[in-house]
Amino acid sequence: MTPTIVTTDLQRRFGKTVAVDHLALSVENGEIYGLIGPDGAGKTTTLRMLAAVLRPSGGSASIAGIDVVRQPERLRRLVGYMPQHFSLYGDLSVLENLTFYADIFGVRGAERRHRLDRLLHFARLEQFTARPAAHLSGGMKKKLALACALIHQPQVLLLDEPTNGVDPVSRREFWDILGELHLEGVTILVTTPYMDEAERCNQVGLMHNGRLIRQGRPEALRQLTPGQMLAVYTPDLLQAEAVIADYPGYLAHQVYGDRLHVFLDVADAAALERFLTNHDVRVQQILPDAPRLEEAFVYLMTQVSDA
Amino acid sequence: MSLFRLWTIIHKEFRHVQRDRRLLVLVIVSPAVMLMAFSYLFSFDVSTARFAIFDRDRSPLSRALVQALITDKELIFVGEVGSFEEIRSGMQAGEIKLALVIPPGFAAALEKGRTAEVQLLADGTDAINSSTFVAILSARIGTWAEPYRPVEIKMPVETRALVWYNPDLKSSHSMAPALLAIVLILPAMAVALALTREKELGSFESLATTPVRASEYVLGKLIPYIVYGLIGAAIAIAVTIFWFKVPLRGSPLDLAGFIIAYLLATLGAAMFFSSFISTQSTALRAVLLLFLVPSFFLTGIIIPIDPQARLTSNSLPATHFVVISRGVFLKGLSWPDLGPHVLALLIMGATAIALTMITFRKRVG
Repeated sequence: MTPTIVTTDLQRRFGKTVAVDHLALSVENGEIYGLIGPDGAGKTTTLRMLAAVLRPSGGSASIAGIDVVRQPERLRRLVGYMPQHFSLYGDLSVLENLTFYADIFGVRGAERRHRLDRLLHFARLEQFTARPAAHLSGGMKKKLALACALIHQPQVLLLDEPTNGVDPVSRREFWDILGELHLEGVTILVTTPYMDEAERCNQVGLMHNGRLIRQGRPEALRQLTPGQMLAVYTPDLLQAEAVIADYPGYLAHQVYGDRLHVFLDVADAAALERFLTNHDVRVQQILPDAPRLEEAFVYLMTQVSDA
Repeated sequence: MSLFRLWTIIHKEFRHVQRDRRLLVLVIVSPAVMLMAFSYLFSFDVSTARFAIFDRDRSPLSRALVQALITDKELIFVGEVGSFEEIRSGMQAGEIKLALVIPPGFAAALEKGRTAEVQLLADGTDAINSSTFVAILSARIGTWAEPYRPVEIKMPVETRALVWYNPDLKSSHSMAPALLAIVLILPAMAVALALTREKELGSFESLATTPVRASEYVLGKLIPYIVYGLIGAAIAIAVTIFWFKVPLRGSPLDLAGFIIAYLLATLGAAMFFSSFISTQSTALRAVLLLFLVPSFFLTGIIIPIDPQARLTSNSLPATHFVVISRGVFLKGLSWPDLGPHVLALLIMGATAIALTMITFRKRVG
């Protein structure tokens, strides 16, 4: 079966800046695909081109076999798009915003009533139907935007940082909703800066400087970090960082707040503690740890920057 | 085009205006307020001719002239002065614009059948008004002196001036209808703001991914502002008729029709250039520079149209509406008489709206 979302050599330049550079993305039917990467990696530009609100400078992209450049209007009923920034009408109430999108998509009569009820319930917004959208909390705004993007029951959802600036509880709730949509068979392409969210995706693609540097299942990506990992807790982080590369079997390290994650050929905690103590590093604790997607992501980023 | 989607956009746009008090004021109240302000600002009425008299003759005849002038209802008599110094200080302080000096020997000259001379001193810093005041006062003195004409001189050509449509030459009668053209640019400003606000707030990005079509979006934005523009126009017209007492000699229905044509032209043009602008502040400046300022100076409202700038003037909707509005109000003109101007507005409107639809793109950036 051909993937639902395919981009081939997709490019977008803004003047001399290359925002998206020969991007080859493929999202299978029914997947939750997480696009991760630092700010300016080209995630938003990619989603805008897929939503057919931005013209590519080169290459092609299609959703369910429909070319996004040549047949953008055929996409409208198929795709639901949620831009990064709040894009509803602040002066209209929750219900008025939803009704507006229902009307624009020609959802009418009993069907409209049915879908409005369902989406309001789904987005946990039943209590706030009369509130102007501008007066909603950040999380509620995002849920309303999602509800509006779902009013025409799209088969494909494009979500641009849907949980950015949202509190953790609302974030979890939002992902529960995405989980329900996933079960209904909706294909979801979502960008996110949060690694714990990327862990909830079927596939993760890492974007950097407009290119896709790696894609795969989260558990596969986690394995990309080399060797074994030890977490070193020490008050002398700077000193530890300065000497760690001299340790035999050293592969890479990352600093996380009060601790140092060290990747080694062989994870011998006792040997490492001796080495550090000899180099004037006070060691509080060394624990073996399994690398998360975050470590893999940071490792891949440093690989790319060094190359 | 789906009429249902068109109605959806219209309905939404009405709500935006209803809930935005500033926008509501801009389209409904501001035209009338601006009309009043500008009418007074650009009033060239003689009633502001404040004048003083310096009677150095102090004869029964000179007193009779003074009496005749100070009871004139059109002129504002400030007082009599006793020296040139007083005239100077009066003008410096702006209390008087004009002074009449009756020299000694005024009565003697008249009685002997010679030509008597009087002097008019005018404040030239206010050139347009001063020349009008001098002409008015000269005319009044001439009328008063008629019985003293020594010999009946037959002029080869005698001019008898009669001013039609506005016999009293009230400036408000010609200004208020013309200023309607200026104040009815406000709805165009509102529609330019509405289009750019949608882009600025980001709601356009979501709307662009719906099945809405260019025609539905453009007409959906246009129609509500034409309706609000008409309400604003009705209030401004009420001010023109009831406050400035300008007679509406033509048909109110014709006038409404012509206003719709004018709104189509101005709103259409505002929408067209707004489609290339992404911020409200730029849109506001564009309306001011491309519409409001030229409409003041190039359309014959305040200064006559420069024949060399005729093409520029004719390309401004306001030029045509000034002729239409003055024609309907003061001359009672209708369709056949104003046809070319109404047609010009309709062509401008249709062209601008068609261009807006053709160049409309459901894209951001």
